[in-house]
Amino acid sequence: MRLGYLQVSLTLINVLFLQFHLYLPMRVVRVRGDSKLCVGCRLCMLACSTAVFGVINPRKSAVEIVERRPETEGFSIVVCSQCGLCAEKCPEKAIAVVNRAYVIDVERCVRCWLCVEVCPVNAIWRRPGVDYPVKCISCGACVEICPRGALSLEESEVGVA
Amino acid sequence: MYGWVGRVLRVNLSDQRVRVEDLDSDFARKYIGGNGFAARVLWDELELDVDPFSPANKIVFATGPLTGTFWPSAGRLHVAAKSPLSEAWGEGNCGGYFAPELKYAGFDMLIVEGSSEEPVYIWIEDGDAEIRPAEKLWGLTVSQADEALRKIHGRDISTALIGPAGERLTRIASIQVDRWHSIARSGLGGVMGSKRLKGIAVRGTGDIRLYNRSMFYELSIRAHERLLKNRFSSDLIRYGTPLLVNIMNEIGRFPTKNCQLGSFVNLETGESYAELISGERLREKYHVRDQSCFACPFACKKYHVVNEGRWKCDGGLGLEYETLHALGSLVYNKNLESIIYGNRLCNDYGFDTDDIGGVIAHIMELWEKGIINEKDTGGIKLDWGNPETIIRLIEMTARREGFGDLLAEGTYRVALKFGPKALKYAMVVKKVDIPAQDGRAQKSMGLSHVTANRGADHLTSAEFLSEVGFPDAILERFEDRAQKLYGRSIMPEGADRLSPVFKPLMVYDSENMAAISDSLVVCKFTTHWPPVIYFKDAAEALTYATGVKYRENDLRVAGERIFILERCFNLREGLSAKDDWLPERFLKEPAPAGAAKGHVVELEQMLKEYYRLRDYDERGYPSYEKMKEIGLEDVAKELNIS
Repeated sequence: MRLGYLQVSLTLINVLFLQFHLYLPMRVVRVRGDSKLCVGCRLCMLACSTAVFGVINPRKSAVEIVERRPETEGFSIVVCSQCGLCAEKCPEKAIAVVNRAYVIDVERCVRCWLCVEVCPVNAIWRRPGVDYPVKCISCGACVEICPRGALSLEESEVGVA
Repeated sequence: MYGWVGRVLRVNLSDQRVRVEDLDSDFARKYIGGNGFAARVLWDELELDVDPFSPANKIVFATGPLTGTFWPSAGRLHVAAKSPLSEAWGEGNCGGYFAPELKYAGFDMLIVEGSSEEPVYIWIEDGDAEIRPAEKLWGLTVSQADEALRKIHGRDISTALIGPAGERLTRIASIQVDRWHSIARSGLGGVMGSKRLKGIAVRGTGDIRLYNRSMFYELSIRAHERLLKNRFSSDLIRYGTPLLVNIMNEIGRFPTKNCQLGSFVNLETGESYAELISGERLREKYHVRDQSCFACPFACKKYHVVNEGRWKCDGGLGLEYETLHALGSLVYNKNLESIIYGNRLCNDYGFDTDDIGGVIAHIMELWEKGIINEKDTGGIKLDWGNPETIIRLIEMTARREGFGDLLAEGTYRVALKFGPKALKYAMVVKKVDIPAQDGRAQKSMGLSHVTANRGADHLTSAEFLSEVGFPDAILERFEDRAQKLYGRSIMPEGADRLSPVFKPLMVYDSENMAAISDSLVVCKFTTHWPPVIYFKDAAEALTYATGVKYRENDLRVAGERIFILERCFNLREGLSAKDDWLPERFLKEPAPAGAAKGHVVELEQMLKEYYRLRDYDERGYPSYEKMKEIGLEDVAKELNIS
């Protein structure tokens, strides 16, 4: 209970700081993918779309498994590193840390899709059937289902901006 | 609809028409998906006695209600048509990503009918499909054609393609999904070739909706955990199916020299060669990485590369136990690198490795016995185990060149050409080559080869409980029924692979469960080996996914319904009890060496009991009561069963 209260206040403070263009180093949780362990089963993508959208559809997922070439190379895991660059660049300040991950405020988002372009790891997507940018909120659904332990939740300190 | 997406895509290549039909909900409930859908469609729509290579044959690509979800291994594709090899029921099942993609595109099933004048491929995207010219793809190998299609449509598509073997209408051609996953048995690649259909490419971005998402999720997570916790899983994950080579060799179930032996040994010196082509050696020397099929926790597919020497190659993905047998022990080939090379060739040309290995082993034995000579083979010497010869024969068969033109017809037809003496050495059931199990060393497999609807097959029953022993599962699943039916315990005979006792019951039950696996559509590595998912789990999963209330017993009946419907397809084509028979070798030649030394398959005894359990009469027809019980009265009527 007290922890929840603390979290809400921290989030509020973060949002306030963002509003006023202040810089504050803070702790975020990110999904870390170890591509070497990935075998390409796509379970993470299915769990993600189910957790976030309530439907099974890997193309709505905020984590993506990409087949590499040459094929001997296996797979890459593409997922948000919670670096916060999108929050910095968003002209509407619609991206902020909520529950220790950068989350897009869909109400404030004007669909300029700039975040999709600026993301340094290409982990914000324009998804079919979704009219706003899709990004990882570090909910951990993919981590829970991954049978190879290729995904984990990791706390890291990130300076906003 | 929940679970199913509710649409069927029908493409007619003769008049170039694409139609989208609704999936009937009663049909879906009754036949579930996969093989059930395919069996009913082909029963209803195929005319009697069609030539498998004619435009009148139809080929069905079916998914199931769990396909595309996170249920363990729910990414398999089931394909069926009248088989050019057996000229009866033909089906195949593979992994990869094609089936989920088809479902995200909005289709539970694709039916291809008619045939095109010019080479074409079908492009499916989100609720629509078009027939496109494929002159530039025709003649290409599977990996070349796959690359070309991904250049056109993007990397994230899934493909099902045939290679030159299918284009040239060999009867032993496969369909390759995403390059490495083979719809191998039954020669279905040739059916696509006869329709001048090079392949299908698909992308889907739609949703699959579930009736009770949270319960289904809980159930799936639990199923994943149970699978990963099973004590057999770690070996399967580490080695994939090649792990079976050493195990099966030890129990004498590893067919060698065209099934003369059940262990890969030199009879004179006693030297064993299995170690040379084992999963352990593959892992140690040629393994690059693991890959999993869609939504599967196991990742049993391995990528192999041979870095140097005569057989230097990018071996690709998924060299399986079956191929290590077919291009290895069966043809007495000890050279593992040549098997990796040959497997890659078969994937590129689009061959069923079991059938091509089977036909090569057959002619090698004819050569050994002096039934054929250099005049017949066009100068090729067919001594056992020469890798150069084996690879050359694969290439010649793919091109239908010289002697290869005959081999392309498959073992049974090659034997027919060389007369009754040759027929004795054709290791086939219903004209289909026996896969990598010597029934003399595992009696339930001997029976399974005979009762399978698509001809000699281990996966139609997938009776693996008695193989190296899952005594707990055998007790749990069969003790009550053994007490009820026979008045005694299933043990110890149930777990004894060399005993024919109780095996008919186990095969019967396993076939019904396998029919459910193939209709969900999931992999038998979650249902049969290790035996984790059973009727009850499947019924729960289906109920939460679809909202249709399935009970355990409903699925037992549905499994039997699907199995017997396929059987009825064969009966209508003129097959009967006389076709349920093994080659003489397994019945009269005791295994000469290994753990099963001295054993034959006690087929007559097992088959009699099996017929009783299935309620077949002496012609091999199910009774009217049985047909009524499983809801196939209309089929019974057409077959004059009363």
